[in-house]
Amino acid sequence: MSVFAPNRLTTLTQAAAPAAPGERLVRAPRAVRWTWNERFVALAFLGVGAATGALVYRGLTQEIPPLWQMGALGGGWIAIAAMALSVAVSSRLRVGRLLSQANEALERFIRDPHEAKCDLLRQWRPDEPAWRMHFDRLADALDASQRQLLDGERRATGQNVRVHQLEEEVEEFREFLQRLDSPLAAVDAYGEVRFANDAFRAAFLPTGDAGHTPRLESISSPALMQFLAEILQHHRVQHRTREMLAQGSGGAERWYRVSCQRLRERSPGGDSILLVALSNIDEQKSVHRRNAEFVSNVAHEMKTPLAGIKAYVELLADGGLDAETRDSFLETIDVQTDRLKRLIDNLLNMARIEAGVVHVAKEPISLNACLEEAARIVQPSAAAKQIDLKIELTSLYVNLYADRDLLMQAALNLLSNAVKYTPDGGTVTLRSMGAEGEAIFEVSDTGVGLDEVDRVRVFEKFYRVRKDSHMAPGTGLGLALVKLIVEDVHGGRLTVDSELGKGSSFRATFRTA
Amino acid sequence: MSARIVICDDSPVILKPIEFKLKGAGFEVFAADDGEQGWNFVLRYNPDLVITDLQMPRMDGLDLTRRIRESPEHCDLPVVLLTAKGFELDCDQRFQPADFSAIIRKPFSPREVLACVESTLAARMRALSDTVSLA
Repeated sequence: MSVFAPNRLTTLTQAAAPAAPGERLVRAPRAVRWTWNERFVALAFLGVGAATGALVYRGLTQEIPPLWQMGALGGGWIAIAAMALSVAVSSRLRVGRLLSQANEALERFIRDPHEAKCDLLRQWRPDEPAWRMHFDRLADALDASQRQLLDGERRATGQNVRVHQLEEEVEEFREFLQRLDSPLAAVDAYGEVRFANDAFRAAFLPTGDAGHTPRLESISSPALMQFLAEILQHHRVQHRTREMLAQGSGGAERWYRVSCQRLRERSPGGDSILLVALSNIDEQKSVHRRNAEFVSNVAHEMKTPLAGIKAYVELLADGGLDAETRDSFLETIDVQTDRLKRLIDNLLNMARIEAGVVHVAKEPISLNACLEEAARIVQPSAAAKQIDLKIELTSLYVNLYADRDLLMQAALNLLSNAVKYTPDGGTVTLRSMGAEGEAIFEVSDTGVGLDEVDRVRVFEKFYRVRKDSHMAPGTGLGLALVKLIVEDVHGGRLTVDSELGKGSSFRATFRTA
Repeated sequence: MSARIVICDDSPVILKPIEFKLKGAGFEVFAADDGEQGWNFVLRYNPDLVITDLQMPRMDGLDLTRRIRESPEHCDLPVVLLTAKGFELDCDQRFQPADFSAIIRKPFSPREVLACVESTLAARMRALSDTVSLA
């Protein structure tokens, strides 16, 4: 195999590999062994041969002394031989120098392919076109090989960098999944938990099992385990979500939305990985529960007056009543209708305030004027129970930046509440005070009072002081609405001070400065 | 002698029309405004039927019914439950449907209450006469 022909690095190194130290890698090609000098010598041989032949022929035909003949022939041959020898020696020396240059270039290339100067071959190339062609091809081959080598190395370096980046990204992603708050796991077709992040391990896997690949059966929640096992069995199920109450490894049950996704179906009907993502929905569930309780309470509160109305309407329709009974029935219907209306108004106001859609028109108002008007409205119902409604307003002018209608509603609710829960003949007192940077109004009664539990819970929606609920048919929303108006809308504070059996005192405090 | 009926409800607006309707139909009616008073009436008047609300102060309808079922003298006294509760009732573990002869949901019709009372009492009479004839 000629070392000149191939331009591939591998072939070149293969060709070079067997060379022992000092052995020449490049030999002169067969085609150029006859240089022009050598051809000239060959022609000279032919010329001297022809001259010798002519001399021999002339010697046979003419008388030339044999010694002369021998001398001429011998001298000719010696001259030719000396010429041929000198040409051959000079030619071989030149070829040898060229070959050693080529060898040097090649050896350098093999020693350090990056730094090899292949152009040396072009600088030292011989004059003979055949040699020049081969040296050029050798230089080209080395150039190309060097380029390929450098390109390959560059590509490999780039790929290494990319692989390293990808490895880092994968590690970061794994770390992210590992620390994700939501439990996450991957289960294979054989029921082995191939990946479980910290949250999943903490929630559902036994502790101290980090070294082993846990099995599906070691998941603490039977419901979750069964759900996953079902999906693993049904190969056609790609995605499924379910809400479930799942038992954690600590024994506590929490609500989760479990979302399963089948990944990497490697062969039809064969292995696949099930990615399981859980999100805790305790909060949503409790919101739903509270909503359901709220709706249930509203329905219950509405059904009582509605039941009264329906019952009395039917009794009226039955007929046969005296005028007095009929009037009392009609009055009850009227009262119950008002109660329903009040409940609905309270509900709507509360919803509006809570949703932030109520139009709050705050303006500087006189606290005393607002309270006096509320007292005027409540006065008739207080009088009906022989309740003494005392009004003790401060002599100072207390200016308050507030929504007049809402503040009035708060005062009205507190006053009518006091009247409702105070037995006949009791006292309800409405006070106002102006302190430093504060405006206060207070409604006190001599009513049934609240115990410790009631004091804490009295502002909850639909919370009714149980032992007295027969006393005062209310909506269960009045105080909750007052709290919203005083605290949420006006940034004030609503407190209650009460003693069981002696009465209660509700105090609303507003900042004025 | 007319049948005696005890009605328990903390809301007068429910209590009064039922009392009016049943009295009009000739029953002897005792109206209690909570379960505790209702239980006292049961002991004092030995009624033939009890109609009770579910949610009442001091003693609610379920506690009253349990007390009736646990008492040797009144364990077979028919109880009609009158309630505004819906699905929440099923969540209450104390609620045993078998304890009640009937359940009437609010808002109710007084005619419906009367019909229910009459049919329950008739069934009770039949059961009592069967027991007597067997004896």
